[in-house]
Amino acid sequence: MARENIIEIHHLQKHFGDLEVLKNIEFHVDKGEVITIIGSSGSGKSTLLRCINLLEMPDGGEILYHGNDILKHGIDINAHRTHVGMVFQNFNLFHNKNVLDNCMIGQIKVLKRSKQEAKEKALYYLEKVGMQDFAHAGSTQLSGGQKQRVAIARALCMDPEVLLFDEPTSALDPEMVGGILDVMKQLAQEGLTMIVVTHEMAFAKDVSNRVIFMDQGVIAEEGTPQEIFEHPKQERTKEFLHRFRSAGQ
Amino acid sequence: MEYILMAAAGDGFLSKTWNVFVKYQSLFLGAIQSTLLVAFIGTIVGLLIGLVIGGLRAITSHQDHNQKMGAKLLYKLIYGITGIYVGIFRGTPMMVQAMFLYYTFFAPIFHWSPITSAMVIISVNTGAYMAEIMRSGIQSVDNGQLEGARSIGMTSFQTMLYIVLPQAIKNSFPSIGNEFVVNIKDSCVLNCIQFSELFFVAKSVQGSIFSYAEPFLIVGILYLILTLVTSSILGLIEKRINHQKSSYPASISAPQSGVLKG
Repeated sequence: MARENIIEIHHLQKHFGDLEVLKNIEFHVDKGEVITIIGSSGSGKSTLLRCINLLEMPDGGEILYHGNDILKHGIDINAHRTHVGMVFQNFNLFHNKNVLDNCMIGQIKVLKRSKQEAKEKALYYLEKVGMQDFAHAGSTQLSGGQKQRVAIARALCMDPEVLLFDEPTSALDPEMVGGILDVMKQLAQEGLTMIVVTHEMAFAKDVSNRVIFMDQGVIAEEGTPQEIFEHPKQERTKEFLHRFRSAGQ
Repeated sequence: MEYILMAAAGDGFLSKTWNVFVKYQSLFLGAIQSTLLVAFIGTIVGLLIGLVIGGLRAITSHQDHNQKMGAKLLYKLIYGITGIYVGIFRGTPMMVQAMFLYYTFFAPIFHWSPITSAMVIISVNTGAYMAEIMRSGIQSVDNGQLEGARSIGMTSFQTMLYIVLPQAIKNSFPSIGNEFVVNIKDSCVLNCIQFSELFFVAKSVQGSIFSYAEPFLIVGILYLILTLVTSSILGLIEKRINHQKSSYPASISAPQSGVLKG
């Protein structure tokens, strides 16, 4: 199968005040790829992810989506965001809507789907993440793990081509993490293109096709999970993994 | 002095007060209506003004460093102008606003009646307070809510309308309701433009019976009844708004990890 390039990033730069968060990032995503981005906090991995759907505006470089630079003027940012879904660390479910409405509002208001169609799709994805019985529950009544399942369903309802996960399990109780990772694993197996910022090394190892290690605003090393976890070339990658392993014990 | 002693003695004064109320009851009841009407209209229109002005102030209160020069300037201009409106109407007594606006513009130029003028003045005045209530209500909505909405492609207008404002109104409902209670009481200053609300009627009755105690005791009690009833209704509404929907499926346990059909 020929590789289909969805996202291509060149010379991406971002700074907050004097702090350079992203320095000349080169990065590409192929269709069906599952990419995990690892690195210590402050390395720029979340910022890179947030630049891809323009929740952060880069200061320089280009982001090509199917060959079109989305940083150019006249590009419909909101249309772009429907193609690139996002799952947040803190879920960000709409507090004023119940579970079903959380999954429907984007479909109705942004994609202009009919109520009926939106509801069917919402229920389909809620069932997929195991939350169909909670369709009419208030979004603030759920546990963290349940909220994240709904947040994934909400993102899927928009039929995104790529789904971004920004530390989706970091705010969860430990016993909830496995369930969310299983949902993500299933999505990966179904061929959804995913970019996952995570500290879950086991997930990165087992599920992703490619692992990117970021350090101080640059991509320090990238490769297959085996290359990164078994034979890291860079000294800082080794150090990071070593620190991670000793912290995990 | 004699009067106070008489009042303390009870019977004579209270029955006299009752008689005054019965004799002028159509005036008092009419005044209750106009007081409530003006307070209610003022609160609703004030809320609408507050939503717009407060929304604008919340949006324009911080400039993004990515913005172009023109947008920055526009933001500053809007923030400045709305700030002047809020500052003037919160910083001067409503009585002064009423006297100035009514006798300078509303009566001589627009030929508005006192009640129309009263509604406009109380609306514009309440709007200034509501603008600040809504601004802080909007700013209290968690930024994650905005990011959630933007991430599924909603425009900033849709985000404001469907996600932020409903939460901001809910969060500031106690303050919004409080404005209604305040308006019931403070509408009394509008007697200065011949608007016949409770205080105005009390003054007229006092003029015909040459006695202060009875009419003002009557309107005092009427104000108290209005504010107490309104407060308790608002309390009930507030409880309802905060009431969690009971559709939580209690018999179903949380999904087990690995539950995924598809």
